[in-house]
Amino acid sequence: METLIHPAQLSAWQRFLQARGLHRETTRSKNPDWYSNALELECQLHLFLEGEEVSEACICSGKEDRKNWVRVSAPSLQASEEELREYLSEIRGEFNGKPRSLAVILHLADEFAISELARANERPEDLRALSDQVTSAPQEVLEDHRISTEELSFRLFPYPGAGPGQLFGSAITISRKCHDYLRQIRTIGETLNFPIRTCALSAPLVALAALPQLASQLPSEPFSILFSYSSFSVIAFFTAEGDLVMLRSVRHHAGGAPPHVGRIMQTMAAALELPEPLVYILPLSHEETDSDLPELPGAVTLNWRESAWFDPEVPLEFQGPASLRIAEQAEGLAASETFRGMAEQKWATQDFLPATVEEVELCPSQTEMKILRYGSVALRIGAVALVLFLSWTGIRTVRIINDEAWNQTGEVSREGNKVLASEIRRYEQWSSLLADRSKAWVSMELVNHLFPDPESVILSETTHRVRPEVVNEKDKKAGVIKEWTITGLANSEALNHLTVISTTEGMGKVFGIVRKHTGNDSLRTDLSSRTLLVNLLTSENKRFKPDGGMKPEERFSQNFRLTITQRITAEDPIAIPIVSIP
Amino acid sequence: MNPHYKESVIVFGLVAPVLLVVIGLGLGVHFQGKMENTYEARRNHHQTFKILEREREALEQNVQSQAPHMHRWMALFEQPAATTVNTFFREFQNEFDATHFQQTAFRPTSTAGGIGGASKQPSSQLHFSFRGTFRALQTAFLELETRMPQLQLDSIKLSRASNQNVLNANVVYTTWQKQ
Repeated sequence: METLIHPAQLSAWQRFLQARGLHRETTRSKNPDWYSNALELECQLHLFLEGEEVSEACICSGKEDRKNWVRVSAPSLQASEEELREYLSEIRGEFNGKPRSLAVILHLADEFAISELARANERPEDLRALSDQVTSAPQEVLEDHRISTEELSFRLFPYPGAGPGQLFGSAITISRKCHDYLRQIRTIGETLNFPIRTCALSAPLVALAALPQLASQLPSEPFSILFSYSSFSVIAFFTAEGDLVMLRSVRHHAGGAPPHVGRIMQTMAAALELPEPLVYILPLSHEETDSDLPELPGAVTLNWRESAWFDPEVPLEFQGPASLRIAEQAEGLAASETFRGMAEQKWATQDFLPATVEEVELCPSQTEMKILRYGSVALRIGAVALVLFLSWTGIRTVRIINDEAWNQTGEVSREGNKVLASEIRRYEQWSSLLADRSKAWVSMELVNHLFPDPESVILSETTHRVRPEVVNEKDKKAGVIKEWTITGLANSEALNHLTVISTTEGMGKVFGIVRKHTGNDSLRTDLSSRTLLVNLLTSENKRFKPDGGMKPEERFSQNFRLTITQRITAEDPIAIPIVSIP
Repeated sequence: MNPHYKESVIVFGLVAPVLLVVIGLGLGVHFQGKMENTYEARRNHHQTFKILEREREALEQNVQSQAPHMHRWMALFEQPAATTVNTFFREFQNEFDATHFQQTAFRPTSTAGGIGGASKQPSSQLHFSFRGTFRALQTAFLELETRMPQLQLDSIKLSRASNQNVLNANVVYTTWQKQ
């Protein structure tokens, strides 16, 4: 990865290119440890700084309650970047498996100062807001306005046990002399594309936070503890409930703690209205011996190594952050507001030397890296979708172009079909016009079948008329009325026959027989568009001679007149077309 | 979020790619849809063309099967019906003895009447009188009406002649004419 340029100096597009470069060339968008708090990482390197050099170094891994500690060689504060890179590479190799990140936690036990807050007697409602102000703009809230934020780092530390009129908290002050050292470590992490998060803790504050683990050695009445380091001591005053009332630091001179430290403690206890508190000493220096401890009458020396909770081989401060667990049902000292606050608000594990704003602003935040990641995924999915869509469209296009229908661009003309349809219509019209509507020979055949025995009748006259019938002017066809009238003489046998056939049913049978013989469909009687009416009129033949006459008219007893009317409506197939054929 | 990167990352890292893909897909869908619409129209056009072609084939088959009838029918109108009928009866009369079949009268009219009177199709009436036996008359009418389907019988009257063996027949035909 090329050297990063602060985004304020870049155009919007260049900023995006720089962010995309980080997304592509680093693990920032995949490994959330780049943005995690150092104390939350699984693999940690704890360094104990007392005096001019790091005196102790341990690595730890594993969960909070099952941390494995291994003592390692301590790096030099004066080490070059190359030496530090080499050291950190060695440290990475010390962990089981391949660590995905590393936390470098520097415990500062070489200095400890307390700055007074302005209006320190008025406890504000929102300590977090005040804490932010102490961190970012300490000149505005500290008693001493001449302080230099470039050289010093301030963090608020509240005193929950302070009574009305007493100081509610102080600003713990640490110099920034190790800031570049930690930045160098972070830079190495970036060049290695390996998340290295740093954190600088105040060793006395972490030791203070670990006190609940020593609760069995502490009383249930007001007490004070002196945390002793090589170059200074920190005195903490507690109420009977275990709440912190005040912190004070005492600088050591050559030869250890000043001899009047006992008097100081008595004076302060009196000022804090803590009558004769029990005094404890917690020796935490890795350099001094018991003879260097201040002589305090009646003081009890706490031995944290006796506590089962602590690993006696590992410095107390290293194990301090892990002791700050939020227990739902805390008991004893851990239940006091002071230690609950330390567990919940992390007052004792505040990072005194975090990355500067400029350093943080150099890289996109986790949210932006996620956006880049999701955007990249969306772009890839979209590109794949686009490619698939275009491929499918291409295949579909080839299929369509090769389809016969695609190349069918000629005009569709119905004219030819209309001409053919009109030809057919013309044929049908002529067919209808020339239909077998009425035939003379068929009518004669009908008469022949009406009188099967020629000897029994004499026909005088046979008439057949066909006439059209227009019921409605708008009809396209006219009905037909066909009428047969037959007159003559008949004997009784013929008369009986005529009586039988002179019904619709009887005449229908005769029509059926004639139709069968002639094949002429005009005699069909099974169509609903046709009706058949028969009328027979008989009368006595006055010229009849029962004993037998000479003339034919004298041999038949009856005159008859048979009238057959077939009515065919306009809906019938042989109805007459009214419209002319063009 | 880092305020220095926020906008450029959102714009170029998320909005632009999504927009690019959406525009790409949108254009693709648009042009693909356009092509599909054109194809659909051409396919409908093609289907119509095919349907009309099938219809035309069916119509042509019909016309072809009807053509002989139409030609025969149209041939009927090449000569005046009266002439054709007279020629027919003259030839028919030659085959029979005068006592069996004889045309006794013929009167054509130029006006429509009977069946033809109901239609706008041009027609005229032909009046005939015959004398003959039942069988000779029926045979004559059978042959005539089979040869000339344009003849529609308006009326026929059969009565006994003075000679007991023959009948008098008065026949009126409507004959259709072409326009």
